[in-house]
Amino acid sequence: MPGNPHDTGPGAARPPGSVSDALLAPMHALLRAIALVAGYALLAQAVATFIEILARKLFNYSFQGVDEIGGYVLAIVASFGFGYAAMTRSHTRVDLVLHRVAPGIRALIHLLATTILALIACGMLWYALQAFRETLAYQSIANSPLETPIWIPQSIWLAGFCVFALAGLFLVLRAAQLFARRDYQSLEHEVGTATPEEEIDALAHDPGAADGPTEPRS
Amino acid sequence: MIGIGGIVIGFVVILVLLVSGLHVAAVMILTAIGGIVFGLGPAMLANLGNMMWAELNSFILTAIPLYILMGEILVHSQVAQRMYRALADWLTWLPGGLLHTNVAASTAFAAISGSSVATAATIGTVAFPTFRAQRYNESWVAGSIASGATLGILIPPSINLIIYGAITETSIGALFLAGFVPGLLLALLFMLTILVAALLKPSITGAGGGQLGKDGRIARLFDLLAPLFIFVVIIGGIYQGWATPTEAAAIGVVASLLLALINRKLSFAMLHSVLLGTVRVTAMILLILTGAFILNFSMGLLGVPEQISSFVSSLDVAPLTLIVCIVLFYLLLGCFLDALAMMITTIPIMFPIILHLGYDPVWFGVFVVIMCELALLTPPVGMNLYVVQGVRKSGQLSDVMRGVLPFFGAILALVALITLFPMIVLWLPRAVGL
Repeated sequence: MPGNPHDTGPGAARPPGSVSDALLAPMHALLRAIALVAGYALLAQAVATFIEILARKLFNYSFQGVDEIGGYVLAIVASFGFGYAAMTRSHTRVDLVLHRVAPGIRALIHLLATTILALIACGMLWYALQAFRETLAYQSIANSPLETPIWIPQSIWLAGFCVFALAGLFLVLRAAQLFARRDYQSLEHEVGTATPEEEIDALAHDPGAADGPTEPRS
Repeated sequence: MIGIGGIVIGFVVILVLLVSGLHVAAVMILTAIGGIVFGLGPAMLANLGNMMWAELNSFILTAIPLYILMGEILVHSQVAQRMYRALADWLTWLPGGLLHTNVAASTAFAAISGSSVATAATIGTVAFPTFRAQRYNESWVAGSIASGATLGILIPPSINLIIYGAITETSIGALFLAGFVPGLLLALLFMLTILVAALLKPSITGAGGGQLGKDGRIARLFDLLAPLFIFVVIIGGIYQGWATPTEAAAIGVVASLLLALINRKLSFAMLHSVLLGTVRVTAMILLILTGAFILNFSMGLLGVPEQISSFVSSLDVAPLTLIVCIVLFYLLLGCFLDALAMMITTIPIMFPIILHLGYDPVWFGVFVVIMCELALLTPPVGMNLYVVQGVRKSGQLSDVMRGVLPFFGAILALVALITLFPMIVLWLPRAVGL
């Protein structure tokens, strides 16, 4: 939703100056748009599966391959979703110690955790790329009625890891710049852990709040 | 190969890294890669990409986002509010009054949602305003909601049971059926706890208990029909064998969309909120699950399961003693770790022990999910405590903790029951031949 105040983030209120400030809002908008497309793919998969069951039970007619495509959809939703979950601070962390150390130390742990997550994202991209190159080299085809050439779903899957790595690297840049500025509050809010209140907001029932609570608020 | 000392060191390293606040998935992947590289050399990593593809490209795991999607749609459709009101009509005559409604509504919502935290947030949001006018003891109100909501992961559908099934290659249909009877039993134990407490100490329900109006209570029964339908489709489909858990989830998604439409809650804003929430939670779970698959692969290469089995047989203790030790281990761990993270990191170590002791994998799935329920209630990291306190928005967190205590006892009683009588868990899946 363009114009949603949740998408602008605190960066908009700050004078321009650093790269991460300028990129903050576009990155959130991009990741959100991608996640929404992934969400619709999932919804379509649910409806397709439902229609397949109806056709099978009522008309004794079976579409081939709904389950196979469902598997591809899951892999793709996962790889694209990883980046969105990273931007919205949704990847699980244990915050037992985090709440009991000084703000500076906590900010440093956030920076470290973000860096490690970004490295993992880049590593996953690298290994996904190896798998994709192998698929191309062997021209692998799914062992299924659809005989899907694997490179088709796998290339979309690979693109998801590119997005994850991009989001990870952006968050490291962002965390580093906020850390250098000693802006621990923004750092907590943008790359820290979500507070229980924010978790509840995300689970609660106000459609107007959309995905707002776990994204930076202005 | 790795000795038992190495395994213990590895596990302690994982715990320290987890508690230090790194991402759970990152810790699992790092430890797994560390194990592979030091144990067998970096060449073993070459296949990681194909492994990620093979594990994530899975129709069975598609059940996870579909149940999350179904739950999110239902949360946004006011189903919980209506269910709560309808159940209150029929339960408030019991000593304990509306407290029973908290448990019953949690049980009903658990049957259409796979998450305990979502159940706590939803039922809490609905229940607290109802109690405000009634002067119930706040500890008991908060405790019954936080504890009742843990049923979300035991009563099918359950995200935790799907994940357990995926990691241990156990039938998810069998796990769902196995969770049903213990789930209902636990709900009854919770209600029994309230009943006894209310009889011993009537003050917990305030003065007079307070009745809601009963006009139209027959008409309100219809509000229970729709969720019941969704539950029957899921369990009936699996029980009679005409739908897999994933297919049942797809039916549930379509049915809940219809319900949202009937309740006039369906809109693009609502749908977008639902879809984004679903993708977010799905990605969060699947990244940890990817970590678990890599960790499992690493442990397999290093021969960890065999080492653990031979270590356990060398201990020469009675199985029951070992189960008690495992319960204590999980109680301790549950204080420090997020419930899902705890389950996923411990399965690779616990599963070989359980098989070695001769317990059924389906039984252990239910057992470990009950351990997760306890972890959701133990401070300082028990998520349900914080969710209920957050919804409550007044008073102290310690009120919630005190309120949870009696129900904690009820969960431990269930653990004892299913350990002494495993058939409580196993008879339903066995009856269907799963």
